[in-house]
Amino acid sequence: MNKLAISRKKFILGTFGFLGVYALGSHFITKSNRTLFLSKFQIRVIEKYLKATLPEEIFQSKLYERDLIQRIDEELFFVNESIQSEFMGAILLVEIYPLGKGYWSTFSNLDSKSAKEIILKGMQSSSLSVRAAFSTLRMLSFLIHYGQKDSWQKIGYSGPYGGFPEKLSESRIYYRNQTEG
Amino acid sequence: MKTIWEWKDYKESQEIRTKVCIIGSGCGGATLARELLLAGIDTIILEKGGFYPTATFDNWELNMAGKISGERNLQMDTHYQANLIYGNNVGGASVHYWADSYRTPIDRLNLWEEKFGIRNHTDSDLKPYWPVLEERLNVHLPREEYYNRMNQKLRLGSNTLGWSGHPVPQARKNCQKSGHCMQGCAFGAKQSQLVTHIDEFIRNQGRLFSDMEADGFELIRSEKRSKVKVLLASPKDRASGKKMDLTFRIHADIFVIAAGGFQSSALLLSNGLKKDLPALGEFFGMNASPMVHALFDEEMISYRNIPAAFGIDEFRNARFFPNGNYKEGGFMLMANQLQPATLASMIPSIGEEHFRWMKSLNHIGGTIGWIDDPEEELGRIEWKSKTKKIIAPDGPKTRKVMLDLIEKQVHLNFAVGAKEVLIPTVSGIRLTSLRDLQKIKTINLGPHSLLMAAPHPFGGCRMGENPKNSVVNSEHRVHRFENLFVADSSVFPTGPSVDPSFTIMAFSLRLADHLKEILK
Repeated sequence: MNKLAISRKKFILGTFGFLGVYALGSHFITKSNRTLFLSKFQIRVIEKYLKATLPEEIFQSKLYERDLIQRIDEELFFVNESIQSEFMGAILLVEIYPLGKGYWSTFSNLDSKSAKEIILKGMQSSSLSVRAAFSTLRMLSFLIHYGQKDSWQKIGYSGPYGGFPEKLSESRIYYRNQTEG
Repeated sequence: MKTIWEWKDYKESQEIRTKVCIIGSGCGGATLARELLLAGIDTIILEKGGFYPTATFDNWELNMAGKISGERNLQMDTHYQANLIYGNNVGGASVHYWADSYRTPIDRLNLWEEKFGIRNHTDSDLKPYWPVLEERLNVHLPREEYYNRMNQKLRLGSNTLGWSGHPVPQARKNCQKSGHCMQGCAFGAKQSQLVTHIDEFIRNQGRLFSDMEADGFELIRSEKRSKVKVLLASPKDRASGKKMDLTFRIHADIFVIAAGGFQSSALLLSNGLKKDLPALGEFFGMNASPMVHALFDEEMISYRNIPAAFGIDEFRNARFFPNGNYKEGGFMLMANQLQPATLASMIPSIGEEHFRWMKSLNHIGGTIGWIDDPEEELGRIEWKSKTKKIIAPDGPKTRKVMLDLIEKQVHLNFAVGAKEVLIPTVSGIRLTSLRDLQKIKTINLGPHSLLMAAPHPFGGCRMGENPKNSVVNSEHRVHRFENLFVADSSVFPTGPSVDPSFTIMAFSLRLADHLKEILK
């Protein structure tokens, strides 16, 4: 990956400029058919993030990857607007962060190795916003992945005690109805 | 007679009349409601969250967070210090708490009386309430079979290191050792408000309105004491999470806010009462809870059995050098218990290193501590742009307490046989022996440096006699208001230094006695 050192001032100016254009642009990007909250652009960023953080073998199943994205979408759809906008901001920041670190690419276009490097850098950033953006996405990714039945066998978890079948809440049923149509 | 109203029952706007209207159904609201109703006082409960009876519980982490946890546990404070853990369901946080049932330590009650001038909540005032609550919630010390491996190790560490520790009083009946306290209890064994006070309230024909959000008050303003005339509330469509286009007008003689430590002061702030009450939202704490993860050679299965059978209380009160400088302590120390999804989110690192830990799930133990937030560095709750903002406690002393707590946890885990300890800073610090302790001596504990949760909010409606630096008086009545009260941990002047649920309930029993007197 080509790297180019740029000054802090240029990075900050560039970041804000890019954020503005992106924010405007992403407003017009349509929602994916399968999601209620995440746009296609946001899904691309999250897909890359998941691939850089989770065990590689899980992505052999395209179906599981789709389930994971949908569950993330579902969780974010039902939280309040303030949390939603924080996650939207975090996704945007993660997407453009590599540009300020000398990568000629946005996050979603990085190869997995570089994405991993960027995540580790982001989590160690002295900037609270950057650190929190990378870190909260990391937490969400693991929370959702290890909340799925498909992840349990590999970690030796026998599943929820009592072997209860899932009892879907009204909001889960609502989400399914909305996305299956 | 119909006793429970839920989202599907709300078809049109309504006027409701009652003697007492309680907003919130957690430890504070449910205890108070049960007491007043059984004294023959017409009482209703409004609850923003849904009514999920035990039969709807499935022990699945994400499913249950969606049913019973505020914002699915994804809400953080403004500086991303911690995930804010609170209830959003009938029964409130008691449905997902660990069932620790501590009487308020006498030293803390004395502090509140002597330093903050609180009356009627001293040790002798609360003494009659403890046995009542302990009987109702079947509070008892856990038998040996309820100690999982990590709790056994905590007890061993307490003995080995000479740190004072005790079995933790538990509010349970016929516990099945599922380890799903934080997902509610699918067996109804944990004696949450849902299966105790709320259940009794409903069986005695109390009216409960779930999925009903309090929006604001209509006030009758007066120089001396203002009065709440009507509470405006709106029902929510539980499926979509959106508000319905309906308004409920509730007329009552007494209004009690018991919406919980993260919510009660926010509700008052959203009604513009800061100008009446300068201390509103101030003096806020939340028991941030630094943890450490530990790997053991032996099998631990920490996610089963009860979470906190044993607690180390040696450091509950902070200690100081003769010159007043902080020496150590200011926290409770417990075994940690997290189901895999939450645990995974709290294990730092990514990729292979993270997976290495998760593959060792059954060998992971570890500890957690509740910070007794130093009173001189408390945070606050603000209301801005129609949103509550939680400003976490922070400052040099808070950070010293956190660092000491982490160090003590490292000592303990290695003392009981851990082969590796992981400190969940955002990037993670891995220790393989006590010699590695130097790695943490200089860690910066600024905002979002540690991965942690905050489960025990308090303050924001501090109790006291001076309206300039407190919000409610010793009878829980909001200063300058005639018929508005607060009944939850918001009124605590400081943290109680132990799990707050029992203190909240005892305070509510005290308030119930007072309201019974004035409503005679």
